[in-house]
Amino acid sequence: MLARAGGLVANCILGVILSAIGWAMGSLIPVEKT
Amino acid sequence: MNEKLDFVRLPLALIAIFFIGNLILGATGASYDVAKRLFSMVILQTHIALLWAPLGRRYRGYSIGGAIASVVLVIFVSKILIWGATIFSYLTGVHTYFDDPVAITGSAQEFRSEGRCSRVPVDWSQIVSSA
Repeated sequence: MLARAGGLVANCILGVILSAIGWAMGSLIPVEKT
Repeated sequence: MNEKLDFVRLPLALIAIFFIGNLILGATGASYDVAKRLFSMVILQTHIALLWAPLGRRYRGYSIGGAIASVVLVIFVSKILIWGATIFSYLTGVHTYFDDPVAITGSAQEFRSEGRCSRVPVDWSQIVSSA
């Protein structure tokens, strides 16, 4: 279960980093229909 | 929290579908490699993180913290399912992908020694020493 605990931490860190990258790219999404 | 749960309903549904897909493939006896190509929950998490955070920013006005919180919520639910299935497998002795040696230790050594892996094992120490 230690590996599972490590996986939880690693996945959370990965998720935070990728979310931040994704959030930074959020302005590329159009607000309204063109 | 309820607002974020509402926002991540689709990712949670996808996580549930992938989880059930893993269970079904495990029950049918498909190899671990095939199952992970079709229903890798970690890969799904990375895609959700990259796609749902910007959607939250654009359509819900989330700050970076709010966007991260919504994605971490999805990861936590996914991990609860994975932990639950792992504990279930160990307690009952029922083999699923969640107690697979590759999933637990990241190594296929145990699996390969049983001759159940479709790939030919590579002895990297021999390759390195012969170079």
